[in-house]
Amino acid sequence: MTATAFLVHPEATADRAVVHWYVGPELAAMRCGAGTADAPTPLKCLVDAGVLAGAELADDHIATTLGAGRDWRTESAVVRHGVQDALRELADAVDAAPALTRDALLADVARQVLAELVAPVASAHGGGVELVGASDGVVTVRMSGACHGCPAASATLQGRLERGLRARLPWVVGVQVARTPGSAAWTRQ
Amino acid sequence: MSIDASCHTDGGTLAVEGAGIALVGCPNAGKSSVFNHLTGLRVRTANYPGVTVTRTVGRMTEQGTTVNVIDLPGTYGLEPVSPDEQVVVDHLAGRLPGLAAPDALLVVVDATTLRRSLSLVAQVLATGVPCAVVLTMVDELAARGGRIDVDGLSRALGVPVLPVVGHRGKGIPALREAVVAWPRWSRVLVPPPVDDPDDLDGWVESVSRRAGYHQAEASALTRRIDHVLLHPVWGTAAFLAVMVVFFQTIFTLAAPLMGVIEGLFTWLAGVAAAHIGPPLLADFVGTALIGGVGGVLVFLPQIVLLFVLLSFLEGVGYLSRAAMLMDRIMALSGLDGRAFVAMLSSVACAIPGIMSTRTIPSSRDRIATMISAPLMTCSARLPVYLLLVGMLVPADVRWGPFGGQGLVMLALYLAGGIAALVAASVLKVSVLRDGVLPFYLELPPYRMPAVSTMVQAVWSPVRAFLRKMSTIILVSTVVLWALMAFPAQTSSTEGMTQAEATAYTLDHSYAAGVGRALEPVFAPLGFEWRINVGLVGAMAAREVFVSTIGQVVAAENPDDPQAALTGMTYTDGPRAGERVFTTATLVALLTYFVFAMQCMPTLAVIRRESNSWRWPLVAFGYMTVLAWVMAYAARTVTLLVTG
Repeated sequence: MTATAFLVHPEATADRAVVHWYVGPELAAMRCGAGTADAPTPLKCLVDAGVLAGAELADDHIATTLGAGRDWRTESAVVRHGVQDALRELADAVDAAPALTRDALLADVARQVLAELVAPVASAHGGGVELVGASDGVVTVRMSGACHGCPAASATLQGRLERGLRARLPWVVGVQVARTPGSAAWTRQ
Repeated sequence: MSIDASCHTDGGTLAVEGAGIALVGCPNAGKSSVFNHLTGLRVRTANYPGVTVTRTVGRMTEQGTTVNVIDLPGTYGLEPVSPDEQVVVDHLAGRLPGLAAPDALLVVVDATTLRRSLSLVAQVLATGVPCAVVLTMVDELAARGGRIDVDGLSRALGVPVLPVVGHRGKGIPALREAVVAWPRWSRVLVPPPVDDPDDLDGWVESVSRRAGYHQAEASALTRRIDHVLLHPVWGTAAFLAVMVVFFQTIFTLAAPLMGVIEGLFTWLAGVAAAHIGPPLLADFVGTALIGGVGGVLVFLPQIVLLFVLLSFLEGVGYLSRAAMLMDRIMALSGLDGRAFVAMLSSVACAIPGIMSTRTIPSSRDRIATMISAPLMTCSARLPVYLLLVGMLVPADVRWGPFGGQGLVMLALYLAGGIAALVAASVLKVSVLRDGVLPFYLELPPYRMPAVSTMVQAVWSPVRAFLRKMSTIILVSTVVLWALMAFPAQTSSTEGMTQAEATAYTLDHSYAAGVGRALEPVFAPLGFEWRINVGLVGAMAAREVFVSTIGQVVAAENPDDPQAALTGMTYTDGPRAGERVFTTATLVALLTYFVFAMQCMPTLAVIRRESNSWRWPLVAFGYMTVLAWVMAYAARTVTLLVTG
């Protein structure tokens, strides 16, 4: 289920040997979910091979330090693949983690995506979307204001949220909207 | 990469000092507007060697440093899918002979379509050439509810990002300062993953996310306007209305201005005739110099108006809608909607029409349009049609509510249009067939066009027209005049009246020799040698036929040769005494004018725009053969019908 690549891009730092591979705040959540703070195996391999002098997971980026005598222009593809593989390993570890941990991670990431991608659009239309919860890979949200009951809103906002989630956590199952606030009757869409 | 910029030049076209900074960007990203703000009107246009792709070069001086700014053709990526994009790629790689690779690149990115533009940015960053991003339309993004963090984008890309509002000039001073500081631009450390489409998609998303990018929503106004203008019924009606206004403006508004220019040249010719002693010199100055240049300059108001209207319609955003509406009709000919603009312009004059093919992305389509557009009925055919239709159809003939002359004129215009489409479709299925190119027709939001861009869009073709065309016209009229005036017959014509002397000189001139030599070719069409001389004269410009044929029959008044022409008879040969302009001959002559390529300036423009002699020769060849065959067919049919 991980045919698509993780969203990541490299950023230079003041130290030319150090490049930050920016992942986003969900990296902290993934790290938590996977229950490790160590660099994943693919990056460790690169360190052992001497391509990298060091690699560590920060809150929103993976910091890589280039090995002595190496050049970014020639090594960038190798390191990039290492970063992608590392993120896959993290995601797999999260996958294997107990359901409760995964749901906590999903709720965390859903909150970020809502704030980042969905809220600005919703508020521009005089409405809002809030997180109700996450369980078994399904995120539940509630529409409020002008968006509540608007079929266009649920289609666009739900689509945005789902795309945003899937790009960060490929194993997400879906998004559902609570029909009435506080009601127990859910619609799966 | 050298930091010392002074040793770099732009190669063959501008052998001057200064670094070369190239503008790269998707079509419609606002590249021309940025270019104009950087260079003003100090630009020159040139073709790449061997292809019909134009680049524009201008100079910019800031803080004592001068750089050459190169406006490359719009491209969606650096993986070439069309010959035009291939040229951009080759230029950037320095693979074109005589053209140095640019020292630095400015990637012009439309903030309202950031995601699509980012893959081009990624490819440019991966080249390793120093580069900066110019972010246009930031005002529009904000107005339509979008957002972008310029610093965040710069951090994510690792290169400078400079926001500008093109049409207001906001951000331009900062951009100019940044451009001359190009050796100090931050350089990309880790190139983006251009070799892997999935990774590249992830990179694009990640960078837009880091830049806090929120897409703009389609402007409500644009949506509402398009709802009407792209409607199958209302849209077509609006399109027809725009076309009516378009032609009315070109033909009606230009008429008084053309009258003024005509009057000016008539006055000049009179002054020359009155003040130049030797008759031969007076005739040369009056007919060849003043008459020749004036005959072409008279179309200047039409050409200026045409380009003002075209650049306005394009700037406002309507032209791409018109192209979209016409796409289906143009598709019958194998061309896309954009060729429609060229065909439209060619109704005024094929020269601006051919020049406007620069907006067509595929070079094969461009060539097909270029060599079929001259079949459209241009305004230079009009005086000829008026003369010949007047002789063919009496003014009082009516079919129902319509005058016979008007209907014949309409038929001639339609014949030209249909011929152009058929010719294009034949070319597209034969010599100019190409694979399916991705066809992007962007519908930009409606906006007020920037005056500077419009001035540039009008000035550049008008200047080209004035400079190049007047020299070609001048040379060809001088040659024609010489053919008709020599060998000089001063001793033989002594004692004759002016008209007799002219007739005698012409009868024994080189032109008469040419006309008689052409007789075997045109005799099947019923053309007498004097018509052939007129056809030779029409090679400079079609309307020259009217004045040439007037001189040929030595009418007292060359402006109204109709009466003299009607009564004209064969002077010698087996048909001596028979009328020259029979109905069948007139029909054949009109048909010949519909299809024939008789305009040297048009050929010269095709040569310039296609950058080879091959296509003007092809155009000349197929149109001449087509004209002869069609004229012969028309004559045969007419003879059958009239007995």
